[in-house]
Amino acid sequence: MEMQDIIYSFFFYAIAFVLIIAALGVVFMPRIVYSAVSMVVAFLCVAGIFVLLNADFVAVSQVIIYGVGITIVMIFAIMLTATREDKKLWLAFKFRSLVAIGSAGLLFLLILAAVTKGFTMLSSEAGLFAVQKPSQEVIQRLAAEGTTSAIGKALLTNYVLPFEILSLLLLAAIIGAIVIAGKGKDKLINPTTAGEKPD
Amino acid sequence: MSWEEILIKLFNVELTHYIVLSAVLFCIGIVGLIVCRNVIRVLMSIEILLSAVNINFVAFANYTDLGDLKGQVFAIFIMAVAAAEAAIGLAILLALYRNKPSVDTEEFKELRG
Repeated sequence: MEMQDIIYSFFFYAIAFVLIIAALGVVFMPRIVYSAVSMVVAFLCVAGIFVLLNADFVAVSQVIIYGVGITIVMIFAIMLTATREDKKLWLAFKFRSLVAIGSAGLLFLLILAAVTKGFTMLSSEAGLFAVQKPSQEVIQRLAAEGTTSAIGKALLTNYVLPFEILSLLLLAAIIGAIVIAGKGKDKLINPTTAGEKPD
Repeated sequence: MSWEEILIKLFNVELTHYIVLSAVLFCIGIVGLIVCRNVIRVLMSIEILLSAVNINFVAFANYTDLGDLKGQVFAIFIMAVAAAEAAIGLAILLALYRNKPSVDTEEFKELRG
């Protein structure tokens, strides 16, 4: 085992530990604002995981979209719907919580068993997935120019149709959010008569 | 294999570690989705779920085709869809809040139809 691998593993475990603690905090913090702050920490940790996975462009997008954009929207929603009875809203009824935790634990065990070939992978040599080490020239190309140009080329050649559909989806989401959240037509403030008193 | 080799194999981070991490995140998100009564917290749990899926995509992109980066492109798509989903979800929440000033999921019983 080389020194580089040990440092990589150490960083992975540190980031994963903080990430899981922060994700638990999102669910189990008693106040919703603490939960939002915990969510920011979780998103930044996910960006750190992306950096460990050679995905610099995705990591920066994660910080911009999740760490800033979605968080601001969430905090605005929290402030607009501020309720006094915050602590009462914390958790659901007991039976439903028990069932939820049990089924989530069962799902985790199922994924673990599937990924580790029924817990026998530790004693065997080969892994479950065909992991291929990237060739030396790919590593040098990525180290020289990053992943941004490769993703940009892929978005505008192979994936141009999903990309355009995605832009339509975002446009529809913006218009839909305004239509749903906006007030009705009768309550709209007309800028030309905004100074006058309503009759 | 001896115990030392197994321990080294456990410590050395590979694709399986990332999959297990994202499975843990996914289960936490599902628990939050069902357990929490606050609508905003439910939306936060959905974001946690999407982040778990993103980690899986990028991990597979790193370990199986670093030359093509298909997984990273899909991670970008998922991020855009998550942003749209958050905007729409919070708009619906605000519209609901205007009709009935509460963020409790147990209060919205008339949505059952």
